[in-house]
Amino acid sequence: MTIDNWIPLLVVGSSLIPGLLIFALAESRVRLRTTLNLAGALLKLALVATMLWGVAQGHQYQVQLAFLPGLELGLRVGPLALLFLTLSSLLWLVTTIYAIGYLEGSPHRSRFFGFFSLCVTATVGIAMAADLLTFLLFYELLTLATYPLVVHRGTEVARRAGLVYLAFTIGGGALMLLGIVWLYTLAGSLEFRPGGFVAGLDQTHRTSLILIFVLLIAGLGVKAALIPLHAWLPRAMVAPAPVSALLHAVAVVKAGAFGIMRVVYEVFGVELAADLGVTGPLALLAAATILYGSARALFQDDLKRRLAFSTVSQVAYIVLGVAIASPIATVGGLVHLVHQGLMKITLFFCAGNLAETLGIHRVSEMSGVARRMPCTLVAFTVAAFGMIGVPPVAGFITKWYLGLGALEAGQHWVLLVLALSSLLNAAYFLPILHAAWFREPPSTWPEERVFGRRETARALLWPPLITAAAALLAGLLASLPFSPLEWVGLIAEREFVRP
Amino acid sequence: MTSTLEAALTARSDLIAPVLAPLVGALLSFLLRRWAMPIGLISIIGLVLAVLMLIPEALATGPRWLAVGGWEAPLGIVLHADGLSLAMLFMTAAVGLAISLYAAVYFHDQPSRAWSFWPLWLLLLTGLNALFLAADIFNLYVTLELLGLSAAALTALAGGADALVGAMRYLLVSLLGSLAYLLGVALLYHAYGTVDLGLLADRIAGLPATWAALGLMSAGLLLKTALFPLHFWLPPAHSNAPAPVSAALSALVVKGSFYLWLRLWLELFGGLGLGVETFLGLLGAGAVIWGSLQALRQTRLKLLVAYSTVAQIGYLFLAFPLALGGATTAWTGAIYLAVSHALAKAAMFLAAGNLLRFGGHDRIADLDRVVQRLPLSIAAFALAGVSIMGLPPSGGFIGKWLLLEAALSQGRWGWALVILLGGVLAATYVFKVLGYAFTQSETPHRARPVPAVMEWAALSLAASAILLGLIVAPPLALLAIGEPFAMATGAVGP
Amino acid sequence: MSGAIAGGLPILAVSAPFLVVAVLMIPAARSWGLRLMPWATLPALLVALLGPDGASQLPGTLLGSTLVLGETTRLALITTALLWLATSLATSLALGRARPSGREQTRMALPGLLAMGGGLGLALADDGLLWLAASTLIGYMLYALVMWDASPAARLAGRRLVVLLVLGDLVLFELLLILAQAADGTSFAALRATLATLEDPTLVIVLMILGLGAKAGILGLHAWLLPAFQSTPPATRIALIAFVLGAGLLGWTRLLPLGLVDWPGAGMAFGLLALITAAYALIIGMTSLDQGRLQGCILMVLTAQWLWALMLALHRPAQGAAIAELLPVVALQGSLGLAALVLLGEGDKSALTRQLSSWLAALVVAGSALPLMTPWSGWGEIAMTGLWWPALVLSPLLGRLLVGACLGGWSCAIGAGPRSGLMRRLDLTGYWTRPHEQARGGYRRLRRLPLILLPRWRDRLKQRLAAMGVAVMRSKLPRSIENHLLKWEPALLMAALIGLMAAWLGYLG
Repeated sequence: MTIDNWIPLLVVGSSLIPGLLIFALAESRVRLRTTLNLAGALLKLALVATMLWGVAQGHQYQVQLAFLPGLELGLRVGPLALLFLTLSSLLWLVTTIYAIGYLEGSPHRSRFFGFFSLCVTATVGIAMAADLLTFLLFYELLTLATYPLVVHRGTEVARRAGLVYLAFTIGGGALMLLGIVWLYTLAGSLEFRPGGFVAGLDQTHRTSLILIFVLLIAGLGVKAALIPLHAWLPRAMVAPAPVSALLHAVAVVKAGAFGIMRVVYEVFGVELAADLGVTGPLALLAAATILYGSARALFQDDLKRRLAFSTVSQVAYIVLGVAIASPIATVGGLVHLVHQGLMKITLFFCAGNLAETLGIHRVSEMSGVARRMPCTLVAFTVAAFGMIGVPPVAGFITKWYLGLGALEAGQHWVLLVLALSSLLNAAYFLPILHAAWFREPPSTWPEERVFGRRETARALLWPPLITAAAALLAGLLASLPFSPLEWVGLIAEREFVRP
Repeated sequence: MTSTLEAALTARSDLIAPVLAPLVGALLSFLLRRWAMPIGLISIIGLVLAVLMLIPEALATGPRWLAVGGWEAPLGIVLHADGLSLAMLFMTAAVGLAISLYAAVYFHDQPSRAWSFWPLWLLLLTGLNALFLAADIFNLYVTLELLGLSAAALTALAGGADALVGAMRYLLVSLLGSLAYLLGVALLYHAYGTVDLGLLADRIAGLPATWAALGLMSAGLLLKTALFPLHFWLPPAHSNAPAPVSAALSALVVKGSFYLWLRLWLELFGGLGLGVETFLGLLGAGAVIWGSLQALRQTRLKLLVAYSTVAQIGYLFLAFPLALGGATTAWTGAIYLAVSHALAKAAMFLAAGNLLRFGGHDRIADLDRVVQRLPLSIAAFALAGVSIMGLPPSGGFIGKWLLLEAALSQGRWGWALVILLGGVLAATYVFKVLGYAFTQSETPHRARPVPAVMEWAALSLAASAILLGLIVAPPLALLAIGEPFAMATGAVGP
Repeated sequence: MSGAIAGGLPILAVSAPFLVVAVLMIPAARSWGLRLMPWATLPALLVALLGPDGASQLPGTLLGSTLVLGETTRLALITTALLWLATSLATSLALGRARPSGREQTRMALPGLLAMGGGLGLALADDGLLWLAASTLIGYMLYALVMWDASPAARLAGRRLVVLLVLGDLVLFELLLILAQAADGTSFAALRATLATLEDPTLVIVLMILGLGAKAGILGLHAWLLPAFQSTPPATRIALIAFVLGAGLLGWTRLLPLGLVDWPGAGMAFGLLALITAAYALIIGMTSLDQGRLQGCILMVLTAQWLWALMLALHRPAQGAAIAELLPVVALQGSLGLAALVLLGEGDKSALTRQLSSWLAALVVAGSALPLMTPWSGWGEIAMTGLWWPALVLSPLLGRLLVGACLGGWSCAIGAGPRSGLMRRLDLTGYWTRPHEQARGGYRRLRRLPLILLPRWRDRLKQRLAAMGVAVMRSKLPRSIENHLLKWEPALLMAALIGLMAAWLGYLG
């Protein structure tokens, strides 16, 4: 094995091993635990950066491990994998810092950070999976690793939310398993390939292929929170803020969306999918999810629930971009993977800051909060504007490409959906901003903690500022080399536009 | 002294060593009560070594035969080891080692029970190993009886009314099953004049006697395997026994009778085209669903785990209809499931035993106070649960994958759905327990400490169930030795 | 080398406010930042006046953007920079007066600076996306500025503004999307070229009217404009003028390929909109009680004038190019004039601020007079048909504002004094409709006119003018004429407008 084989394994190991070590640590070994966490995150980031450079030069990193007869477990790092990989490793670092600050002094931190690392391990595995089987393996690992994080608070509500989460994800996993095995019996291979590996199957399998597609999308749609499989997501909001951030921005919903992308482009191939007539309904489903999520968000008073429904809506953009099945729309969908991650993680960090510092959990309690926590609110504002799609924040680029792609594919209705969704986004974000910036603050906050002259703890303040800046720059400097958009262009060029 | 004896025996004939090692240990520990525990551990280690030494050779040279005492079939005792047997032996050795280590600590402060435990336990292992190696149906009966009796005695070890009632029922069921089997053996011997499996396989035909023998043997064995709806005796027996015994019963003993039934099916009845495969499969499906639903209803942990065994046994029988299509995938999948279930279920029972010992009860809804103080045990339970649910990466996943592949490649949807549904139900009952692992307990609890060995024994079993899902090729190669499933495959017509 | 400098200058011009923002964000440098704030627009002004033509490619920005300093953008930049200079000076004066805490000052200065950056970006952007980004930036920051004063009127204005901003940006987004998809690029040149080839421009024109109209305050989409003018201090009002001009009016000239297309239908729509907007502004302006509202009405008339010019250009492609060249000049003249009026309306107690604002006003007035002369020669027919009636509408409003300002006293501090008192003092309608009760106080206040501190000769001139005004006012005739006029003024003007419109439609055929 050359070094190129080792790097993907090291990327998995760089969070797996710290995670396992952390499980073994005593609760009081804060310093060692923090060191392990950060060292793992930095190492992973360095490895990913190496690969970014390599892949940009046309290199490919892969490793195959023997598994079942005829099937191998494979990790392969191409441009598409790196997109997700970079996002997750970057945001993992930020979220780790945030979580260290957020959970300071609370119980069960070893358990928390252990599962936190496992969760990221699963995510990078999903990103690098070279075939559906490996994908499934990490996908289920993700389900299992996230559950303890969802129920981390240990309340009865949390336990129930955890059960709902499991009911959806395990059910989805079962459907996906069925689809994958079925596909394997038909195609005899599960390896992702540009243009899809089932494209060569003869026409007699049409019905089967459609059903397999439905099964796979149903399994992935649970995590991507497509309606009607989204119900777990708002409930999972009982988890601590870093977990919500991770769930929404990096790990779980992204895994679902990323999987849908893999399935449409590298399992079926977009031509075959369009030929089977499955992309149209998928696009409609995504559009319905976008609108429904936004409409529901409008009526939530709980801040995190509002953000959760917003996620339901936003992640469906990715699916929409994939389902429109035009190269430009795909660029929009893919790049939203990163953009939504940056923006949503910022929003959750900010929500966490408000809850941790002032005890604010509801939108109706946010009047005048910007006077007390201006920096947090600046980050929140940038991210919220991004969600609405205001230029030059990242969300705008997404919508632009989705719109262009829809026009190119002749699907003009998508423009209406985009407009309506932006309108709804504005309708549920702007009142928050309005209240926070321009209303009079109350005389006392629900549960205020004072951090000297700063508005909140340093570890809580910097992560949202950094991610908000990243979201802004990802949009403003969208055509710099190595920007998400440029990278997605590279992906489209190398993986999707091939004959 | 024992180890030198064993060494001598293995040197002469390594195939018999897995039987001899526990047998000698059993006798010695019965005689030297004071040293029962060390003797037991040494003989278990001997057993593990013996099995480990068998495997590379078998991989290199294929299936092996040994006529004990130099007498060839049909007169003497013949041992036969192919991939299936070896896999079962390996499973027994691995699970047996962990259970023994666990038991050594578990019974440490109850010397009277330890004295009874070790001989019985070693005897049980002897019976099991002999069962896996025996090549004629009468010897198989003997081993089956040995197994049943020692198991029933072990069940009673916990003491108390519940345990005794459970053990009694178990004993009766076991005797009834053996008796039915014995009648079948008699019928076959009468019809074909031999008890050797190989000879019988050559001679067997669709005579009424065969039918009757099949009916009797299957009834007996399925009763002992606790296939739905003959599972009624299993939950009380398994849940009331001491933890190591529960683990052994659930993980190993039911596998013994299943192995026997599978062997008979593969060698004798499978080729006859009797058309009972679907019936067996339906019973299996019933077991999967009924067992899972019952498990879900339970409020006590050990009962839940016991019902889970009922459900998991159902999976093994799903292979019968699926193998009809000619693929060995289904059999491989079933065996894989059986082995990983053994590892996982033993881990679960051991973990449950830890929780029970620590908290003094096993009421699921009150477990949170216990669970948080025993992270290793609950981790073992969770990892074992992963395998039981069939989530990757785990042995259970591989087994289910193979079964699903067999089902779907033949387009047999019903079976595939049962397999999936069973997985989802399993997840439901496993997480019913795990959900309490994270809830906050208010009142501190007066607890009895759990030694680390007991926790690690459970965890290592669970971890090996997971490992079985990552390291797949070697076990599959082992199973393929001598093509144990080829006979049924080749004989079945289109 | 010189090319690189020329290319760098536009970036310098736009980035100056953002640099000041960056300085303000550093706690230690906050006071420096506040001191720099009024001058953040100076680089832009200098670049506009002295810099050579040039384009700066911003390759990494959005989808590849360009800032261009050229013939048209230069004028726009001058206008914007002057308006923002006035705004920032007025803001810093207000800040100096109110003396809030450092943190509060930063909080007040930031939206203004960001809006300034957006405004400068609007002027120089050469592609749709950067332009849209700048337009949203200035829009939302103005929302913050409007909301600054938490009075009910301001809240109302802010709410309306933000709703219309969202809708307008959305429509613009779709518009740009449709154009860009057809044009395969987002530069304004490409967009205009695409528009020129359109068969049926209805959808595009409708989107354009909705999107840009929301910012320009076309009737129907003007809901935010008047309350915003009514409730904000003068500095913000000037910023609002810059916003209407940059994000609304100039947008049309950026997007429409004037001179290349012959779209009578669209022209008709623009013409109708212009007429009704002007009529509305006139009615509201004449009946308004508030100086700020009146200024808002004047701004709406400027919009109407703009629309009318667009109509002409669409009707007569031959003159389109000339009109397109002319419009920035009109923008410069109109907006600077209005800004001057706004500034003059603000009185102040302290000598320094009075001095400053007076100078500024004088500068602005001078600046507004210059371009008024330049285009006149080449205008010909357009001037005849295009400017005379808006000017007609404008003049009563302007006159009223000026007279009202004189009567109300230059010294009244709009941002500082209690609003109710201020309202009463500016209650021109009240003055005119109830002359007997109001007259005496009004005349008394008229004498305070010279309080505005100008160099002596100008003071004398002003005193003379004021005396003349007083003399005229005191005679019976004008008062009775005005009394009569006032009753019938709106009706008369309305009738005149309708008649004109009918005549014009008849003239067109």
